[in-house]
Amino acid sequence: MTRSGAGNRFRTRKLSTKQSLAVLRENQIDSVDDDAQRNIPQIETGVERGEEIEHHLQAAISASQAAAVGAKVTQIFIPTPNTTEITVSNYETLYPKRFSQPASYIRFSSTVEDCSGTAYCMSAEDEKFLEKMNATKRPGGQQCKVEEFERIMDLFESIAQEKQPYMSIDMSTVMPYDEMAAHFGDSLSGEIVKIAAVVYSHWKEQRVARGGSPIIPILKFEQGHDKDDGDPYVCFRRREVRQVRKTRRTDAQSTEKLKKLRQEFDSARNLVRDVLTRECMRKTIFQVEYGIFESRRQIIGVKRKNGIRGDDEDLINHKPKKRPVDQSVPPITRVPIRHDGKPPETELRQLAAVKAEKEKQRADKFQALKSSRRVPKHGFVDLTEKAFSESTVVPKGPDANFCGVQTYYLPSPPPSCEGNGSGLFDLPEEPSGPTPIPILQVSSKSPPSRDVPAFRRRRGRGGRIIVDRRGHGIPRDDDLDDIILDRMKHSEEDEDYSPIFVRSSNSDPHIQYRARMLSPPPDPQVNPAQHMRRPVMPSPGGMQLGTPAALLAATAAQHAMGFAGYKLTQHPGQQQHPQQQQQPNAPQLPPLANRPPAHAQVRR
Amino acid sequence: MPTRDASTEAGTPDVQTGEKSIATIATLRVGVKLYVYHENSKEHRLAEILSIQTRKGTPHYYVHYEEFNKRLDEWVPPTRLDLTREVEWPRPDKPAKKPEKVAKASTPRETPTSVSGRAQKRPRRGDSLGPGTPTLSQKNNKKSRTSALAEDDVVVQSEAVGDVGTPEEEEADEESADIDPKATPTATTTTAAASSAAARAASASSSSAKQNGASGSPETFSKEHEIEKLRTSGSMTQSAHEISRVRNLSKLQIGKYEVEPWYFSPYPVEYTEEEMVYICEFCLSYFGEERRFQRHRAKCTLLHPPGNEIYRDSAVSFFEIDGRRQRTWCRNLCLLSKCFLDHKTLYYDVDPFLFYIMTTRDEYGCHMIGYFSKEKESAEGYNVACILTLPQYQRHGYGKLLIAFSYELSKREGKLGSPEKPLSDLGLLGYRAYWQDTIVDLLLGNKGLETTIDELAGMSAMTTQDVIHTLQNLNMLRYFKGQHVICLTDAILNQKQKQVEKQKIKGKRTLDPDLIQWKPPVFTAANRTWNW
Ligand SMILES: [Zn+2]
Repeated sequence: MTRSGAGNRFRTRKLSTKQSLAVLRENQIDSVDDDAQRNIPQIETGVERGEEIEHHLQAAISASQAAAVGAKVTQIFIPTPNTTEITVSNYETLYPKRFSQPASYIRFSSTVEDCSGTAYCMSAEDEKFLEKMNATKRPGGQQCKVEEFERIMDLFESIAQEKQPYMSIDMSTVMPYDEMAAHFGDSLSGEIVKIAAVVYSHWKEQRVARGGSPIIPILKFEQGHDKDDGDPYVCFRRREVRQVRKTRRTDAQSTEKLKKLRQEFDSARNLVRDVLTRECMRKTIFQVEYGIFESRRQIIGVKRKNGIRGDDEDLINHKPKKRPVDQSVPPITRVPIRHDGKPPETELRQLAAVKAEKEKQRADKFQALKSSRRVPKHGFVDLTEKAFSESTVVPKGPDANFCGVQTYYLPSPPPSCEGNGSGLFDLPEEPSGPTPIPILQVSSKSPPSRDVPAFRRRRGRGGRIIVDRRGHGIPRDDDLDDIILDRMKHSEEDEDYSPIFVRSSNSDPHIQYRARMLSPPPDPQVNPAQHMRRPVMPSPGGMQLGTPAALLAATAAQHAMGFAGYKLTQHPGQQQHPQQQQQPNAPQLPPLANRPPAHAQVRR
Repeated sequence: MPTRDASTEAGTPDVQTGEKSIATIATLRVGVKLYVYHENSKEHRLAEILSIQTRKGTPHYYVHYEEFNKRLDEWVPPTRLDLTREVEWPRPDKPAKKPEKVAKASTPRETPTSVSGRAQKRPRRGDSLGPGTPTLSQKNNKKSRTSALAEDDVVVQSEAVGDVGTPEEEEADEESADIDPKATPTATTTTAAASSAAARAASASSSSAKQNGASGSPETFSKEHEIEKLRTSGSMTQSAHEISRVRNLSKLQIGKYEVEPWYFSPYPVEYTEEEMVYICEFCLSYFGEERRFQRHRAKCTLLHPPGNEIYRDSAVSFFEIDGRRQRTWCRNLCLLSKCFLDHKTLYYDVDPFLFYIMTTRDEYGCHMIGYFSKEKESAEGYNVACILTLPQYQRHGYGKLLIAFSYELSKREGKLGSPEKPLSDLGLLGYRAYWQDTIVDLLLGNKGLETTIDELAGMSAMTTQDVIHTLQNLNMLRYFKGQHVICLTDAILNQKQKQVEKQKIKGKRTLDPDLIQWKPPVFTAANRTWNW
């Protein structure tokens, strides 16, 4: 393979790799043109030049080349040290037969460390020591197993490696046993620790004999920087990332790309965050609107009940107002979002804050009103108060619908009934919880007939107050569409629902019902007085639960007194019922206008 | 390895010689070239002394035979040396390199008494010689020196000092190091390698115009250059410069076999003192003491290379192992394979490589036959970094199987590949055999009457260079009627014919690509650089 000289190793390629080459047999070619071979670039063998000329390689190459041109040659092997295949006699004991090939290809990821147990392996010398130790140890004492011994040694070695990595440089201070023991942690159990103390001396001896280096020799890794470049025993250096210098430009480009990528990720994140903010705000809006809706319902109820007129604009105008606000929001938010992440949020927050503030003001106002009416009630019974407290306290919680329904549904009682109404449902003082307390009959004179509405109030578990009723026909139209009812329920257009509402108010039940409603209470004077002096008692379950119900019940009683037509129910369909009544009853509202003053009078 | 280049490239010693003269045992030193009896070839061959060690009062010489591969280097007793012929003294080389070492070495510390001596024989004045003695060996020598010097050593030294100054220093270094049994073997080997280099360097410098261009230039830059190259990729070094030239382990026990290592390997230096290094066949852990090894075997549960099996046929399995995930195992593998691969470097860690292990199976487990490593991402398009069939399995056709597998992987990757250079002699022969096989098969299988280099490359996953190289070597590229043609020569066809017949009898080791369960692992640049 001796090349005739460097001159022939030109790279100009006259032979193209894409060039179509005819594949011929030797007898198809005249051998004339062979010297054109020169136009084919000589390709290096890939063997180092110094070795290319090695005798055995050359012999092998020329043999194969001779073979390639048809000469008879025996294959030549490059001699290698006559080393191999001295069968190890104790192979069987070293390598037990325990491999069974799984049916599928092996998949395996445990490391050598995982598979070789304690790293420290006992030497013959260790073994001698161990035997001696086991022999001399207290007769009844525990024998140290090889595995334990190895674990102890391993522990010593790793502690030394960790705490005294330079022991081989400074042999003066081999870590004493006590210090060593302090690092045991919980790696050794009690019995073994005792053995460890004995093994320590052996370990130290070994370690010192090794000049402070690990007892089992380890590879030499790089210590400092350039110093060990020439040490052939230093191996497996970390491959530095030096490309930086070599390809500075491409690295700079990569850096730029990374920066850009980072920026894009950032803006994507901002976008998502803004979307989240927006959606949160939407949620807030819905909540606020719901709150408003609820509040308004209550206000309407209060107003209805108390006959307050006017200021209805507040209730109506909010919706028109809201819409503009809603519409104004998007432009404000959208614009800033695009430009820079922060402003939109703050703006949005402000908007939300504005809304919240507005709402809060409203709530405060409401609260103020409520408390102004409530304060005086401590300590004494106010007959009129309950009517108010009902409307103020009831709205909270799931009971809200329940209460609201009632208030809507009831026409105000005639003034004459007012005073008598409340208190009817008050519980007798005894706190005995579960006992039902049948109290109320609309007419105490005679046991109520089935036709006559009758109420009963009792206190249930946890302070629940339950009002049982009887004798209330539901003047509900069967033809009333649930869908419509449902729509009514959710509609914000309080004013608009009645036209949609189709009902035949001339049916018998309705006429009956209305007649009952309009009739004066059978006997307002009777009975109730005894209940009326009682203060409203918070139920044992707590105000939250008990009070609204109590108040509700009281209201119900009041209404019952007034009209003997009362319905307590949570059924959605029935919930609408009061609404039905509203329209017909509307003409009756005027008398209500006087009520608040009346209450005030009574209370003060 | 510039030093070797120098000698080998010189071809015949006559060309760029040092001076020649008759030597005695006493005057021999590292770097001297002389005729040594080589037992296998039953003749005296020119050889260079790489190290000298005194055992039981007799010096032994570690010699490298010219034009023989390093794996045939060996320790010889004085009786094998032919001192009736003139020896060639090492030429001083360029002193340019390693200035810091010059400084150190030039502080002479020797036996001034002996200076007088018979300096004459030393052809080169060693005035500038100092460079080269590695600090390590110097240190060692210092402590052992006095004790080390034997009777005639003193003479040697005097002589050396007399005419050359430093060469004798090196010599002394070696001797002392060798003699003192406590001196670490590292010192010895390093000394040997470095001092010979030093001697060379020194000789080059002083021997005025007589520079060996070949060795001179590489020597000045090679080390940094090579290491720098390795920083980014690759597993080979062309310059064995730093790696000791002296084999450092005596024997390995691997599974059933006891094997003599061929080359230096950086196992812990303590093991160089052991008669035998025990290597666990499955985890490749190494032990200098038999009892420890037995204990390890009692605990070791590994029964196959710790990775995923990606190929299995009736004879062999292949396992794929990620250097990063199986660092210990792969390091162990590299240490072992370094014993048989001259140019392999262990300078850097195994992380950027995948290792493909070929095993046989029996009820004991999966025994490694050989392996090849492969960069996860090769800038040069190499599909093999190092490739080795363990010596105990060589000449059984396994090498070709390994090579074939590496090309099958390349086919799956849709890439053309080539082994990393430099190839060893055995590597070259193995690859050439495979390439010839492959190309000839393709041509015979090609019913069409023409083809292109690209097409051949595409079908074989060989690079076009390797295809051309192969065609050329087989004398198959011809120029006919103004055009290049491929000629399936009679000789080639005969060879093929014989091979087929032989395989009919002996059976042929082949791979069934359908049994490969493997997808190219994804190691994008991102994978390697983004692991923050
Ligand atoms: Zn093992």
